[in-house]
Amino acid sequence: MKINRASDLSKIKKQGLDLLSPAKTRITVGSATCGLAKGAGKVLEALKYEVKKQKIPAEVVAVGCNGLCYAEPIVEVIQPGKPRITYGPVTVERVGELLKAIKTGKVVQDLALARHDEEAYCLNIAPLKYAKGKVPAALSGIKEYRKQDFFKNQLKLVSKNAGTISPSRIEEYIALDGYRALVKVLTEMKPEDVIKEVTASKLRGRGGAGFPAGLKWQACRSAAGDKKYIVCNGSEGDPEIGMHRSFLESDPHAIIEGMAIAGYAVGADAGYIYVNDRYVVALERLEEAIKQAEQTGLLGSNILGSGFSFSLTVKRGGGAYVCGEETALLNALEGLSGEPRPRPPYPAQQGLFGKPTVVNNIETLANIPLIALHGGKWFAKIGTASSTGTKIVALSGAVAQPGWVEVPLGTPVKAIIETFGRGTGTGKKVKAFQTGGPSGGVLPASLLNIKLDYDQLTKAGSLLGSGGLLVMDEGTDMLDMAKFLTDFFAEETCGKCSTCREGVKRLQEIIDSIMQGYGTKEHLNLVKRMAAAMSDTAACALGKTAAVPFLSVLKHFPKEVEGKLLRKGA
Amino acid sequence: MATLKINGKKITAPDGATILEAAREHDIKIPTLCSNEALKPYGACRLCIVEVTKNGRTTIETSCTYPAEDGLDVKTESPRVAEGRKLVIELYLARCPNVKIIRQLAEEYGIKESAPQMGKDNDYCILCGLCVRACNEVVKAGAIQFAGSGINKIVDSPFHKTAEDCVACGSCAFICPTGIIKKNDLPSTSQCTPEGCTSTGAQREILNWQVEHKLKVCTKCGNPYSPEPHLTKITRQYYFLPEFFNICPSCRQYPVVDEEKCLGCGGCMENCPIGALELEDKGGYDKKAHVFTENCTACHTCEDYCPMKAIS
Repeated sequence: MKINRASDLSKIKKQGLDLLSPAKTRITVGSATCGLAKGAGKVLEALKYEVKKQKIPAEVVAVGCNGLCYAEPIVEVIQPGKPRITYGPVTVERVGELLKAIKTGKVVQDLALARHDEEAYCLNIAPLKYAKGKVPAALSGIKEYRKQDFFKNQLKLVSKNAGTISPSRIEEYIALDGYRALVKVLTEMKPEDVIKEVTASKLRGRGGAGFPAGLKWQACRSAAGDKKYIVCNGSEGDPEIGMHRSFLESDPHAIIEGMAIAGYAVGADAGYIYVNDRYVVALERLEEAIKQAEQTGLLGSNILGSGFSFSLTVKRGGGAYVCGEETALLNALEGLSGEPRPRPPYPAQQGLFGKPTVVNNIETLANIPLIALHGGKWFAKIGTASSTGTKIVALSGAVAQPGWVEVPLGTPVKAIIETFGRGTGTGKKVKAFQTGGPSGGVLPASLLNIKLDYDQLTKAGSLLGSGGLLVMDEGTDMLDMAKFLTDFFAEETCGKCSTCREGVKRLQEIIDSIMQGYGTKEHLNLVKRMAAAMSDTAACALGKTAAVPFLSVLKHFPKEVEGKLLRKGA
Repeated sequence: MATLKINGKKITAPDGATILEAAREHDIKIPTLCSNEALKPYGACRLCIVEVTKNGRTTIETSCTYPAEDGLDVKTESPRVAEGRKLVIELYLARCPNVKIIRQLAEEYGIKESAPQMGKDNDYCILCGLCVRACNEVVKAGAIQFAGSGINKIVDSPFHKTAEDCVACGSCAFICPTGIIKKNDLPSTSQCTPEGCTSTGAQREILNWQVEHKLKVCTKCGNPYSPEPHLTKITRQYYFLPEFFNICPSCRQYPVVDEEKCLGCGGCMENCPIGALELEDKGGYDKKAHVFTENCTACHTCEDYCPMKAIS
C-alpha cells in the first residue's frame, strides 16, 4: 500500500498491530547473526516445518536480536490473550517440546526466561497489551520482565523494536510508531525546526568523537551548494563488537527514517549507507527494507506530496577499522582507497564527491526519529547534562553473559558489568576494562565506578567511542592485551602518514622486546615520548590514539610491565 | 586575501593558499618530504607540522594542507612542534637509515641516530607518495599505486607484475626524493645468427615496475629520445599530429619571423593550433608576429598562412 497522505499511515499501523498481537499464535525466532551462529536458522526451519505438519494455527516469524545474546537461539511465543513468553536457548531438539507446550497452553519451565504482559517500550502511546485479563496459572511462575534486572535497568529507546518486530515487515515497524516522525517532520516542521530540535536534544555523535549532531547538521545546511549528501557510517571495524550489525538486522527501518529526516533537515536528496560487507544478513535486510520504504512511498521522489525527495543507496565496504573515520569512509565511498583526508575542509563543507555531507553513525541516526517525534527537550532530560540520551553498549570479553544493552548515559560501568554481564563468569575478579573499542584506554578495576559519559571517560584517558565494553579478569596478562591491541593497529592503520605507520611498527617491536625479556626503562620512556608525539602529529583519530592502549597499560599497571623488564646483572 | 601571523610576523596570503605556501612566500622555512608544487597536498610525511591557534584553540596541523585563514596564529618552531618533528625524523631514520635526504634532514635538526630502543630497517622508500601522485595527477597514467596495508604498505605495480599502463616517462624516477626508483636508458643491442642480424633498438627500462619500452628515434639526428608509448599518450591526450614526434625537441626548428616582411595581419596567430603566436605592439599601428618558443611545437602551420612568407 502506498502512503500518499498522513492518514494513510494509521491504516498501515492497524495492519501492523494485527500482525504483532494476532488472532493466532505468533512464534518469533531471534535470527540476527548472533542467533544464526547458534543455530537459529535450523530452529526456525524446524518450527515452520512442525507447525505445518502438526497443523498448529501459528505463524513463525524471524526477528532480530533483543540483546540476550548469551541465551541464543531465543524463541518468543505470543498466544492470543496471553503474555509474551521469552524462551532461550531453544535448540532444535527442544522444538517438539515447545510446540507441545504451546498446543496444551503450558510452558517449558526450564527454558522460559521472561514474561511480557505488555509491549515494554512504547513511548508516549498506549502500550501494546498482550495479556488480557488474569495471567494463567501456568505462566505466572515465570518472572515478569520488569522484575528482572536485565530488562529493568535498561532504557530501550533506540533498540525498542529490536527482537520484537520482524525486520522485513514495514507494517510492524509502523505499528510501533515507526515513520510517524518522518510524517510529522514533512507535514508540520520546517528544516530549521528539525535542526533546532536536534540541537536542543544535545545529541552527540555515537561514533567516537562525540561531536554535537546539531552543529554538524547546521554546518552542512549553511554550506553553499544545491547538492548535499547524508552518509550513514555502518562500517563498524572494531573487533568483538557487533551491535550495529545486530541493529541493522533487527530494525533497519529506523536508520532509513533517521536518514530521511536528516536529509530533509540539511537539504540533501540522496543518502548512502556504508555497511561492512561481512554483514551479509544485515545487508540483505537493509536492502529489503529500503525496497519496502520505496514501495510504500516513504522514500523516493516527492514524499507525501511535500516536495521533498530522498533516495538511499547501500554501499558495501571491506570493513577496515580506519573506514570508520568519516573522511576515510568518504574516500572509500568514492572508490578510492580508505585513507583519511586532510581537514579542513570538513565533510560538512566538502564531503562526498566534493559536496557538503553529513556523516553520522548508525546509532546517531537511529536516535533522530525519537527526537523528531518527542522533541529535543524530552531527549535532553535523559542521561547526564553534557551526554544526553542512551547508549547501546556491547559487552564482551570476560563476562558471563555477553550481549548488548541500552542504558542511559551516566550509568556506571560497574553496574553494566554486574547487572547485565553478571560478573566475569570465571570466578575471578574484574581486573581491567576497556571502553570505546581498540582506540580506548585500558582502565583498572579501581575506576569501575566511572560513569559512561563522554567527558568523564575522556578525562580518564579513554573514550566512549562506539560503545564497546571489553572486560578483562584477573587472569589476563596486561602486556598481552597491549600486544593484541597494538597488533590490531599495525594491521588496520592505512599506512598513509608516517607517524602512525612507523610509530605503530616501533611500538610493536618494543612490546616484543619487553616480552622477550630485553626491555629496559628506556623502552618505556620511549613509549611515553612516542605516544605524546603521535597524538600530536598523526593525521587521524586512529593514529592519534594508536599508542593509547599501551600507554594506559603502562599508566595503570606499571608493576606488571616493569616486572618483565631486563633486571640488572641478568 | 588573508592576514595571519607566522612566528609573530604579520603576513598576507592570497586566497586559497596553504600555510606552507604563505610561509615559503615569506622565506619562512618549513621542512617537507611529500609536498610538491605540481601535486595536490597530501599530508603524509608529517614533517611540515606547525602549531595553529585559531579562536583560542591550539592544535598541531600539517601546514601543507591547512588553509591560510584570517586571524590564524602559526608557530613553526614551538616546543610541541619541535618534539613532534623530532620523532618523525627519528622514525624516518629508523626506517631508512641510509637514505641521503633523511640523513641530511636529521643533521639539520641535530639528530644523530634514532633512539637506540627503536628497531632499525634498511628501507629506501619513505612512502611519500610523490611517484604515485605524479603518475596519477600529472602524467595521468595511473600505472603504479600503493599496495598492501598497515605497516606493510609499499609502492608497487599492479599485482607486482608488469605495470601495463606505464608509459616509461620516468616521472616517478625524476620526482623520487630517495632515488630508489631507477630508470635506465639502454643502447641498442644486436643479435647475430646465421639467418641474419636483429637489432632490439634503444630501450628504456624501469625495473621497479618491471617495464621495458622502446625509445623513439629522432628522424633528424638519429638519437633515441623518448619512449614510444609516452609519445603516443601525449599525442592522443593533446591532439598532436601523428608525425609531430618524429623529430626530437633539440632538432626542432622553431619558426622565425622576419619583421621586415611581416605586415601584422594576424593570419598566423589565428591559425596556430595551440596559440603560440601573438601580435606584439611595436608602437603606433605597427604590429609584428611573435613566436613563444616555449609553447611552439614547431608544426610550421603558420608558415603556410603567412601571405608575405615572413615566417621561416
